[in-house]
Amino acid sequence: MTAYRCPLCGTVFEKAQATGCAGCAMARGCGAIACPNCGHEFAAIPEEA
Amino acid sequence: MARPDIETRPRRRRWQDPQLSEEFSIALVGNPNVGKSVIFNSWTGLGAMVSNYPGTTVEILEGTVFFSIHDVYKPGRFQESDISSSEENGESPPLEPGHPATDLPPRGRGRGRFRRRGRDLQSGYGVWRGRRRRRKWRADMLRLRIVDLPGSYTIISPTSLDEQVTLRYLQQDQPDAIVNVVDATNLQRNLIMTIALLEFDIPLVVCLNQVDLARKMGINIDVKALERLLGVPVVPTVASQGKNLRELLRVAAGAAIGRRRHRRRRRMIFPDGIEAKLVSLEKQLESINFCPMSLPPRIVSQQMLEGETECIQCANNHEFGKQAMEYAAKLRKQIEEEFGEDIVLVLGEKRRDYASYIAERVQKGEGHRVPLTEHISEVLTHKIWGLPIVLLVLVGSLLLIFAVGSLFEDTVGAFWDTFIDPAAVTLIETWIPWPIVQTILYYGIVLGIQGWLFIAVPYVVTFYVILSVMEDTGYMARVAFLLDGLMHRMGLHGRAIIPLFMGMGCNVPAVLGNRILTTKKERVIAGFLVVLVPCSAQLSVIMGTVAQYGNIFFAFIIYGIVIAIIFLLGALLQHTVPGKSFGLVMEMPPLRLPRPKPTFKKTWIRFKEFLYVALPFIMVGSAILGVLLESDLLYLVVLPASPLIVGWLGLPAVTAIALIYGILRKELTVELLLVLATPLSIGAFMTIRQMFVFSLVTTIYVPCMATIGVLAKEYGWKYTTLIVATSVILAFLAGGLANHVLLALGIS
Repeated sequence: MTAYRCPLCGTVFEKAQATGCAGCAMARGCGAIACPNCGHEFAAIPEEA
Repeated sequence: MARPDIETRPRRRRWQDPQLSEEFSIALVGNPNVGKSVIFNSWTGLGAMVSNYPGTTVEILEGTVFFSIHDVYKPGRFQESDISSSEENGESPPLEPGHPATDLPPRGRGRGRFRRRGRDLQSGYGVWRGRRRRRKWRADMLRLRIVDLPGSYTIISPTSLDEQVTLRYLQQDQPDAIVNVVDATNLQRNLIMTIALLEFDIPLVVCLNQVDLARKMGINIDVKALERLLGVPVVPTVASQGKNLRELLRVAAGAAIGRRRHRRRRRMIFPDGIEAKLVSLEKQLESINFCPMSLPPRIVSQQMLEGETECIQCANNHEFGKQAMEYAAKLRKQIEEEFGEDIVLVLGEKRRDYASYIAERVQKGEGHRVPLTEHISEVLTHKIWGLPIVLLVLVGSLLLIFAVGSLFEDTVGAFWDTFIDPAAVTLIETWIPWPIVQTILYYGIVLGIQGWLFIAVPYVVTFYVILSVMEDTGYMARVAFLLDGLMHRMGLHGRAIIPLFMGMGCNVPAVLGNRILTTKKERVIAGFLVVLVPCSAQLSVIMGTVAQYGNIFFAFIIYGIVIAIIFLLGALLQHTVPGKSFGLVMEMPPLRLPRPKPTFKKTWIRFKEFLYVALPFIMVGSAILGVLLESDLLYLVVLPASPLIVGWLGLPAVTAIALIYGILRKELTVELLLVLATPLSIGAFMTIRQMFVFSLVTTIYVPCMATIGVLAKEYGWKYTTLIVATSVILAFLAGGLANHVLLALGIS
């Protein structure tokens, strides 16, 4: 499973847990992801092992 | 304590010895990212079952592990030196038989009969499906149900769904033992959770994880001293290497079956008279038999003081609950008056102090090597120096954006004006015979792309590069931390800073980001404030007009005015909107150098939106404006707005068109100014005062359509109308005042 680490609050989460896409004009293919803890939106680059 | 009822178990398991086949549950609890899942996977292997906690979407993991009851009663073989010796040379020494590190065999290994049968001692798959002779020697195995709960920072007054699930599991399902996984590299923060868990009447075992990493950082923890101070067993582990996990399981199993008594645990005693108030409330709760969801009265009393929502709801439904609430409110008021702070902050600070007290006593200071990045981090988050550094970084960023924009315009702009523009005009006039189509193509494609190229590319790309570097280096988290402290002083609280911070990139995700705010009060305040934060598009308006043709100093003044409005409105709303605010717990990432590849990748991902969404908008808007200009219909739109635009704001009447288009997208305003000013430059079309007022109004007034749509979705039309109306009033008030002040100062 691909994990992402929020650069703002440090939360590690999976893509399914991410929030914030609904209602956005770039709902598909924007490559951004929102942290479920702090809501910060950042580029969806998986965390390095 | 709740135990599974043996009689209700599936029929096929009835042959088991009821006494020994009893299932014991062990819950893994701790902060996020401390290694709970590693321990869980190591213990249960592939036997994990993922399921949503009832009534929520929060996932909990469950797995079963079998453990010999004889092993539980064996004395612990672990010595602290077992782990410390392995790090001396930075590599693992060869492991001797019986060493704790060898206790967790790789999958498929085992000992004795287990090994012969090729079964894994830890997972025990198929154990209960064997033949009769196997049942006999398996009858002394304990069946342990391991539950991996979501990472939580606090459980006394949970603020997130994950924390609520953790608390609900502990109070309703009541595991037989709790294993609190603690990160040894960040003991103080992790102990806050341990202190909370000590309040539960459930056997507790502390797993001190990542002791190897802590030792590398120069942190030596006295495990025995920690055991004495907490009054519960502490087992050091290195979960990532599987070290000492079997010993941890042994101790946890012992706690679960009641071998280890937990009466010696040392609960926290609140200082400064708070304890006496807590005890009196506790007694009051006991006297009225108020114990929501089987929680210990001591936890309920803390929840009532902190105003925990579920606890308050339960109290409302209780016969004497209102009496208890009134008493709690009286005590809360006394404490808040005494300390001059919110009760949540007071109790949180006391818990932190106690965690700090324990951490200081168990961490051995000798050889504590603090890396250089830690020293830099301390300076960056310093109480006094932190904010000036943030200000310097902000000013430096704006200067860099301005410099890049100017350089881009001087070089690429000259190239465009000399070669691209004349070539495009010739091409259109040669191939297209119809004047109206020529106008549409010239304004839409040539001027549209020109505006996008000179506004979006230099300013927005530079801004996103800076944002990515701040993220990558870990400085962004420190800025959020510092601004959070500042917001506290301004009357705003915790989490509200994050959407405001995000709004600097784009208001749309910032509004969506408001979802994470716990209370309606926080969401409403953040909704009002987020739309005022200058987004990257508004930054391009400020930089492309007043900074480019006037002075960069004016850009700083605009930022200053907007920040002042945000603070004033925030403070006003904080005291007028009813409700409660919560803080945000965040992990401070380590500082590191930015890496080019991720930085450019992040910049590209963010910039894509400007390429795919903004460019078509700009081209269409530019083409429509071109048609209006050529057909003299523009003044029909402009005239009604003239009294406000010309009279109050002192702007050219046609700028009303740019402001109206700006509702579609903010970049359009400056791009349309370019079109309106053609063949002149913006500098020749407007004075510095007008550009200043125009930039200020554009930064504050009606948010763009995408933001309005998201606001309506998140807040409903009532609040959206209120937010939009507030921003329009503020924009025209600030713009008009700025116009008249600048005129009075003699700035034309």
